[in-house]
Amino acid sequence: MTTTPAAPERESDDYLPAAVKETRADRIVLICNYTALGLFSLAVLYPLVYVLSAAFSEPRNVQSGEVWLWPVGLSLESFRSIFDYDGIVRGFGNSVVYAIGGALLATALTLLAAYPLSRRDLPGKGLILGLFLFTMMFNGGLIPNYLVVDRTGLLDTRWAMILPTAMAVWNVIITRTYFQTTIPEELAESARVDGCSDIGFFWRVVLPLSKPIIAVNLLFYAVAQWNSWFNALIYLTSEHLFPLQLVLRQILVQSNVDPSQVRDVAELLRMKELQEQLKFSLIVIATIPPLLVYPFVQKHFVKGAMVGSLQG
Amino acid sequence: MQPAVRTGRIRRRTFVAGAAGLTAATTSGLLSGCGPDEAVGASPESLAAPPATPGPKLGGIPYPDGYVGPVARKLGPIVTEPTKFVVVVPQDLTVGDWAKNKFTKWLEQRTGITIEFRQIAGADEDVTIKVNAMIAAGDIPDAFMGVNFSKSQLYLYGAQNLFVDQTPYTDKYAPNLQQMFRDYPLAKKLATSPDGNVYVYPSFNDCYHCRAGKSRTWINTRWLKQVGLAMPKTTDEFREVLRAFKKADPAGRGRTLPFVGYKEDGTNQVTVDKFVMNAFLYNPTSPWLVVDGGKVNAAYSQDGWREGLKYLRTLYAEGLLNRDAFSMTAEQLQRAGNNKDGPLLGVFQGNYWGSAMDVDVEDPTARWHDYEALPPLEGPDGFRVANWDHYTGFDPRLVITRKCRRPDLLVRWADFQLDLEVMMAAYAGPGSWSFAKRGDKAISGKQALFGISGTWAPDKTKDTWAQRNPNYRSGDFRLSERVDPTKPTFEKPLYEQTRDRYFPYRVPIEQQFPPVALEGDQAALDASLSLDLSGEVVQTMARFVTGKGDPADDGQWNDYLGRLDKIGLRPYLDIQQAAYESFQG
Amino acid sequence: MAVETVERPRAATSTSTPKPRKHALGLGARMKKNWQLYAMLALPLIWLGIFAYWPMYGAIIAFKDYNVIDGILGSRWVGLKHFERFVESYQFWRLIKNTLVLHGYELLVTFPLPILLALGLNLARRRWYRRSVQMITYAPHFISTVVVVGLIVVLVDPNTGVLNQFLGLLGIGPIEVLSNPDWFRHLYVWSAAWQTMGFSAIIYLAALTAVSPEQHEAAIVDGASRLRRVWHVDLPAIRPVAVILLILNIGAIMSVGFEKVLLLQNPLNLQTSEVIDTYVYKLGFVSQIPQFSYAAAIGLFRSLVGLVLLVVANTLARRFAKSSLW
Repeated sequence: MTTTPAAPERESDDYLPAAVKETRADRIVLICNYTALGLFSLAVLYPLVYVLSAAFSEPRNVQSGEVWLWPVGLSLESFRSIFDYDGIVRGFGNSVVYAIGGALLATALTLLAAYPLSRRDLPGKGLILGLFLFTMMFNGGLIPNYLVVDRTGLLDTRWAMILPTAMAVWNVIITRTYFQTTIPEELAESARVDGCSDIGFFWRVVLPLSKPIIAVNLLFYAVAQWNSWFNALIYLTSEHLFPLQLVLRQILVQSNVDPSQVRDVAELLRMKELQEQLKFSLIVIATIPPLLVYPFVQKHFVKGAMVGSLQG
Repeated sequence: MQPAVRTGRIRRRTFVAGAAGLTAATTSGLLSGCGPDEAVGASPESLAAPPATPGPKLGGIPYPDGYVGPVARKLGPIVTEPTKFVVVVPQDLTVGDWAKNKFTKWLEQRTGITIEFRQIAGADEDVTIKVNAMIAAGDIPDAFMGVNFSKSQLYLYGAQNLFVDQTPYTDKYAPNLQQMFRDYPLAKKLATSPDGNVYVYPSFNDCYHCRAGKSRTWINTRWLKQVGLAMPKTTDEFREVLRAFKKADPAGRGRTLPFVGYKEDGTNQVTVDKFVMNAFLYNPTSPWLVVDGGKVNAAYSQDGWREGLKYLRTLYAEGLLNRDAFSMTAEQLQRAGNNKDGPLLGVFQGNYWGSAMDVDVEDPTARWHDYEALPPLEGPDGFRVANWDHYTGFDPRLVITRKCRRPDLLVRWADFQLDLEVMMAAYAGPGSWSFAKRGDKAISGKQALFGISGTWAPDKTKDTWAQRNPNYRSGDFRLSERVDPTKPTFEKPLYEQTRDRYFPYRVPIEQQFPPVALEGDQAALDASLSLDLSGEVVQTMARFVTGKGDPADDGQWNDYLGRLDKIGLRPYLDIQQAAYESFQG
Repeated sequence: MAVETVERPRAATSTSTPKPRKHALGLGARMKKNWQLYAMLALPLIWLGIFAYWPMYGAIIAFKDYNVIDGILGSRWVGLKHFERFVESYQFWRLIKNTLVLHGYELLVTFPLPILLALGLNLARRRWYRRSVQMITYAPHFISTVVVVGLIVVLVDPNTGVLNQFLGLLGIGPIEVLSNPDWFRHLYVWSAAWQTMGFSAIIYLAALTAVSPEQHEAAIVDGASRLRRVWHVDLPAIRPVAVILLILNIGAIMSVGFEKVLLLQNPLNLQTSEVIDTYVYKLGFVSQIPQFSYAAAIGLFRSLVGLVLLVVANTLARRFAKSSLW
C-alpha cells in the first residue's frame, strides 16, 4: 500500500496522476456524463422551481394556472397565514424531535443488529436473520399493533412515534451488506488474536470505518420519520404531540372534501380557500429541513476515505 | 369521574405483565384495558332526576312569522359539582386544539361540565380506523362526538351493547331534541336503528340547497346572451346551445368547453351523467339505487340509462363534451374556471360555483355571477325530473358508550347545545354573531333573526366547533340569516335558484332509496359488490360515451348487462331490498 | 410456513458462504466465544419481539370474522372464507396481473437508474457540479404525491400541456395520456423514476466510498479507459448492495405506492390501473363497517406471494450473481 495520506476530498479528478494523459474516448465519456447529469437535473429542477414559485405567488394566480415557472404577483401571504395555525409551528417542532430522536435510536439499533449478522462465523446467524426477514414479509396488522402500543403504555406519548418504528429490517440488511463488503473478515480475526473484544473492535474499528453507512442510516430514518403521519394518526390523540406531516395532511384532507357528499357550501368555501393558501408554502416549509441536513450526509461520501482510515 | 387517570395506571400495570411474559397478548377483549374497579354502564342515578323542563323563552328576539326552529331560553348550569367526561373528537383545523378552543371554555362555564378531549386527526376514513382500534383495545371514552359512524356501525355496536340506547334519557332530559323530532319526524326516523333503538344524539340540518346539490348544474348566462339563445328546456335545445357555444367560441382560440365533465378527487366517480341522465330516467347518482313501486332497482341497467348514454355519445362525437370528460381533474376544472382572460366553461356540474372557480363575495362583477343554475331538461319522451335528496340533513353527532356512568348528563349537555344562543356561539364563535334588528332582511326575504360578523375567510380565531357538535339547523333558521346588502353572500342566489329551478321538478320521496343500515355480513357483501358494480358502470359509461363502444348496439349493451349479472347485481339488489324494507318498518 | 423461512436461511448459509475454517470447536464453545456479538443483538431482538412478533398473532383475523367487540381471540373462526372470497372475486385476476406488471415494470426502470446516476456522479470531476446535481436530484423525494400528480396532469394536458405542444410541433396529434390504459403505466413508472432516482442513489454513493484510490491507480497504470474502470472497479463495489436491493424489491412486488395510482386513476384507464392496494383502499372507503378480516386475508395472500418471490429471487441471485440475502 502506498503511504499517500487520504485527502479529505479532492477538488478535481481523483486518481489521475498528472502525467497520465486523458484519451479522446475518456473525454467523450466525461462530456456525455456531464450532459446527462445536467439534463436530468434540469428535468428535476422544474417541479422544484414550480413549487417555490407557486408558494411565493398570489394563491389566485396559482389557481388560474398563470404560474408555470416564475412567481406571478409575488406574495408572502401564504407564509404569513401558516403562522396563524399554531398547530403548524408546533408540529414542526415535534417533527424535528421525532426525526432526530428516531434517527439516533433507530441507527443505533440497526448497527447493533447489522454487525453481528455480517459476521460469517456467528453460530445461529441464519436463524436470527430469518427472524428479521420474516417480519419484512408478515405483520400482524393495524389493530394488534395498536393493542401492543396500548399495552406497552406508549399510547399518546412521544415514544409512540419513535419506538414502534425504531428499526427497519430493510436498513439492517443494507447495513449488513455494507459491513460484509467493506470490513474484511481477516481484520476481525486478527483483532481477536490481538486480544481485542468484539465490542471493542466494533466500537474502535468498525464504526469509524462506516461513516458513510451511518450517515445514510441517519438520513433514511430521519427522512422516514419526517415524512410519516400514519403512526401519529393512529397512536396520538393530543394535538400538542402531532407532527408536521399530520397537520399538513389534515389541511389537505379537510379541504379536499368529496363534492358528491352534500355539504354546506359555506364550509366548502372555507376549506377551499385554506387549501389554496397553504398547499405550496407548506411543502416548502416541510422540505427545507431535509435539504439543510443533506450536505452533512453528503460530506461522508468521500472516495477513498476507507483506505485512509485503515492505515491510520 | 376520571376514567382517564385510572386507565393510565392500569396501562402501566398491563405493560409490566406484558413485558414479563407477553401474557397480555392473549387478553384482547373489550374490557381488557379496565380494571375490576371500573364499573361499566350507567349508574342507577342516571334516571333518578325528574324530567327536565325547558326554561322560559327569552324575550325581544326577532323570530320571523311562523318560525320553526331552535329558540333561545333562559339556561342554568347542568351540574353544580365539577363533572368530567372523556370525549373523542375528530381534529379540525378551524376548531384548533379542542382543549383550548374558545367555545369549549364558554360552554364549560355555562354547563359546569368539563370535557377531556381526545383528538383524532385525518380524513373520515382515518377516523373510522382509529376509532375501531380504540374499541378493539378497550380504550373506550365516555362518548364520541362528531365521528361519522355509518348507520350500519351504529346499529352493529349498539346491538352489541357498546353504544347506549339514548331513548330513555332523551325522552326525559332532552326537550330541545324532542322539539326537533316533532318539527322533523324524518330526523327521528333516520336516527333510529332497525331494532327501534336510538344509539345517537343527532344533528339535523335542513339544508335546502343541499337537496339539489348532487346534480345541480351551472350555465354561463353571459355566453347565452352572446349567442342570443334562451335557457334550454329540452335535450335538443341543450344541444343547440352547446353547438352555439362551440361555434361562437367566447373563450377564444378554440378553448371554449361547451359542456365539461370531470372526475372527482380520490374516487372514480365522474360527473357527465349526473345532470343529463335525468332527462331520460331518475338518476340519483352513485350508487344509482332507485325505488320503483317498493322494488329497489339500479338505474344503470335500465333502458333510460341506455338512451342517456346514446345522447351523451352524440355530444362527445360533436366535440360538445370535452375530450377529457372522464379524466379531467377537479384542479384542471378550477384552472378552466379561473382562466385569466375569462372562464372557459359553458356548462358544468357542481354543488355550487366554487366547484369550478373562486367565489369572490366582495366583488359584484365577479365571474361567478354569470353562472346560473340550469333547470332539468326534458328528454325526447317528455321525461324530466330533478334529483332531489329528501333524506339529507341527518348527522350522527354524539354517541354515548357503555363506559359512561351518567349518560343523562351527557344527553343534557347535548340538549343544551340545541339552544339558539348556544348553537350560534358554537357555530360562529361566542361574540361573533348577534340577533338581527327589526327590519333587517334575511335570505328568505323575510325578517332576519341573526347575523354573523366577519366573512368566510379561513377561520383563524379558533372559537367555533365547526358544526362537529349537536346542531338543529331548521330550514327557517338557515334562511333567517341576515343578508348584508353591501356584501351579498352566495347563500341567497343559491337558495332562490334551487327553489325556482329544481324544487318544482323534484323526484317524489317514494322513489328515492333511503340511507339504510346493514348487518355485518351484508355490509361486507355490499361493499365488494358495490365497488365492483360501480367500477363496471363508470368504465362502460366512459367507453360508450367516448365512442370506444356503442350503446345502440344490442350485443354490446347485453354484454354490459351480462357483466353486471356476473358481478352480482341480483344479490346486491336483494341486500338493498331487505334493508329498504327494514327501514320502512 | 414460519418454520420454512426460518430453516431455509440456515441451510442456505452453510452452503453458500465459504466457511471461514473447519469448526474446530463445538457449537457451545463457539457460541460462548461470540457472546459479545449475541449481546449486541439482544436489544434489536427484544425490539423485534415486542413490536414485530407480539402483534403478529393478529394475523389470525384473516381466518376469522373479526369483530372489534369480540376481540381477536373471541371472534368466530371461518377458515378460508375470506381468501376464497378474494380469489373468486370478479376482479381477482385483473388485480393480480395489474399489480405484478406495474411493479415489475417499475422495478425494471427504477432499479438500474439510480445505479447509473451514482456511477455518473462518481465519475464527475468538479465537486460543485457533483454536489449540486446530488442536491437537486434528492429534493423531489419531498414533494407530496398530490402535487406531483398535479404537475403530471398539467404537463400532459391534451390542450395546454407541454408534452402535446411538443408533439404538435412534430406534427403528431394530441395524445390523451391520462385516459389511455397503456400510457398509465409509463406515466406511473417514469414519474417515479424522476422523483426517487436521486434519493435511491444515495445508498450506492455510500457503497462507492469503499473503492480505494489504489484500485483506480492500478487500473490506470494498466491503461484502462474511464469506462473500463467504471465497469471493473466501481461496479463490483456496489454489486452486493445492488443485488440485495433487487431481491428485497422483488419480495415487495405485490405492493405499489397506492396513493399515486389512485390519483392517476380514471374510468378509462381502470383496466390497467386497478391494483390490489387501490382495491383494498376503495373497499374500505365504500364499506359501511370496516372489513378488517378481508383486508387481513388479502394482506396475508400478498405476503405469501412476496415470500415465494423472495425465495426464488434469492436462489437465482446465489446461483448467478454470487451474492445473496442468505
